[in-house]
Amino acid sequence: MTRSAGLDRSTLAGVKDHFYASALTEQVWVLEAGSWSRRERRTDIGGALARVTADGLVIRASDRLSDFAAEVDVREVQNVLDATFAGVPIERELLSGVASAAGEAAAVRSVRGRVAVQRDDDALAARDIDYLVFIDARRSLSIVTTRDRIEDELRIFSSSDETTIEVDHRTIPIVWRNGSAAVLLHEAIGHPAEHGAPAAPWPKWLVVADDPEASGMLVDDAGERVSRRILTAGEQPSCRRREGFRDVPLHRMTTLVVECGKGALDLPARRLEVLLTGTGEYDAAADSISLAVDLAELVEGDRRRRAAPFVLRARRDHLARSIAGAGDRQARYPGVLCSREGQRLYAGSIAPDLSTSPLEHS
Amino acid sequence: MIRYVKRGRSARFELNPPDETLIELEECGIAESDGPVFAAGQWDSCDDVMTSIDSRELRRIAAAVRQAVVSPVTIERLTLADGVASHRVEDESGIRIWDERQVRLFVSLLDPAHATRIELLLGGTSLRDIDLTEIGVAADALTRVASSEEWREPRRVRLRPAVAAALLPPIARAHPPFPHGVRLRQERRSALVRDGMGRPIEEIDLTDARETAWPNWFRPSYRFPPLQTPMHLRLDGPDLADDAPPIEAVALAGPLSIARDRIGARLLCVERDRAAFTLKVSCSPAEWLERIEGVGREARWYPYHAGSWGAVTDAEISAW
Repeated sequence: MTRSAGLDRSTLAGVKDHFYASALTEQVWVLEAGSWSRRERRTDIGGALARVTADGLVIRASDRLSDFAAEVDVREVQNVLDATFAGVPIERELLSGVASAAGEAAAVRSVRGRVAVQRDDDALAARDIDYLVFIDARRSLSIVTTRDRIEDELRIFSSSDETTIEVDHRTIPIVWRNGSAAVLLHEAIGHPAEHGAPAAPWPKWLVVADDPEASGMLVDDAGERVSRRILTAGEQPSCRRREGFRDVPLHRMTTLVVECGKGALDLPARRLEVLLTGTGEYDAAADSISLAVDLAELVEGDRRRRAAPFVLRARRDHLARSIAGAGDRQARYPGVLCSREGQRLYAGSIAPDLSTSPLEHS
Repeated sequence: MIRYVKRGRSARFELNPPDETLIELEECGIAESDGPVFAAGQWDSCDDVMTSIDSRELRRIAAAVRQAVVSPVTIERLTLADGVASHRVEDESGIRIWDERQVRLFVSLLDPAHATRIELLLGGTSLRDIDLTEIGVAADALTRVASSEEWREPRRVRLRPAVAAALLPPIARAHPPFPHGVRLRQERRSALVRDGMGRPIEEIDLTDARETAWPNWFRPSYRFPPLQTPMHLRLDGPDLADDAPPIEAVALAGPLSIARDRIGARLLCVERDRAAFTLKVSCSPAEWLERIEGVGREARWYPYHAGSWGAVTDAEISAW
């Protein structure tokens, strides 16, 4: 790739001059009378040339890659963006395999594409984007996942009871199953780390890291090499990410990995087990989080019943003190679609089972 | 089949402290709707947009916002955008072509000591429409926050236009019964006269209108299907009383929460000779309308949803 002399390497807040391009296709499919039909399809391709100036970062963006012919090798960029998803099943084939588990009133939004970023050594670093959002309107559930896991995830959906029982989640221990602890800590540790918030009193044995390599990222969306960061040690995610060429690169999580050095998981006979979460939020002003729990089970001895959806709200220090133990084996949660600052980004989530004591005691 | 083509140029200044970014964007897209099926993508055959945008003006206004915000209040995030677009819609009834310009400013301010955040959304068709006074008043109130209150008994409150405007879109979508003397209508801006289908925005009374009677379509982006929705909402009510309420709600302290049949809000309020405070309220759209005492005659346009007009509005408010 040829770079013009105008692309120098001055820095501002860790960002250097760079070129970024993205090509994304988003489709919305709905299930009607047992067969899937595509309702929406949008493609979006474009580039952004970012320069660090005395007034901050200035980005010139366009949906015509030819507009950057003076600065980059447009043909090479186009080739990189085109060379994507060979052999990946198309949505109709993929979805036919999950129709029976999906039930009525289901919809799937798929986002696929590739981004290319100019690196320090002038080579283009490319990365694929590929995720699905499965929506079950009848049960008010949605799940963010990847095409290789959607069938497994839907088994959880289809096996869950439709009748629910109300449970006061503040008075009962909660076990965060299925990797969902990573979503809880995405809100309680990940977003605060993005903001540079002070640490809460997390257990010493709890290690939470942002690991770009687990998402296949070696270079971020501003062209910088990235590394694993230990968020519980006060570090900030190293990655700057953006949804597309129209957006500003911001410090964002990639894959949140929860590790437990010495935690031990104690399972009370009566407990809530969380399997699937919904919308979450970190409120920097109040230093608190909220997280919707869409699918959870009330466990009483050998009996399991589906609990009614609830929203967990807690101050971060209260939540930190409530963390009681953790299992040894990590599970990959389907995924999180994170919408901070108006940019929707897929974030991976890996965690062992984690237990929290009743929040009313914290 | 409906075919829509948009070519546009915009500049957007974003402040995510400490980072400042200016994005200058050119794009041209096409969208086609065929019954329930929608497709959108780039359109290669566009001419360049001839209108230029002076990004220095964006920086000047952003600097003015910064000046209006004094310690300990900080700017959490600021986005200021100015965009011009040429639109073309082709359907069975013909071809419609129109141009428009829109500006929008969003700023969230933070008072860390009292864990209070306010959000302001301003807009118009020219950067001259951005009224920095609104930001100054709200930022000043935020420096004086001393408590968070929830009242049992209703008290009279004057809502500033920005607060009143934010409430209109969720009220319109809820179809509440309107009390006698309070009406909701669609009133177009002189510079924004066409909807997302290129048809004139109709000036109609929406008080008793259901979704099927909404005549216009909102299309904030060529990449998503247009939405049939009320636009440029304006509330009419009784005249304001001579004695203004002693409490003024100057800004929303966080986004509205809209769940089931209730609208929840946290308002930043100031009371004469008192420090500022935040007030949590939650009520159904019908309850909100019933508590209106008076609505000012002058209104300012805000870019909430598909546009709403905010006027000084007096109401009896409690933590419903």
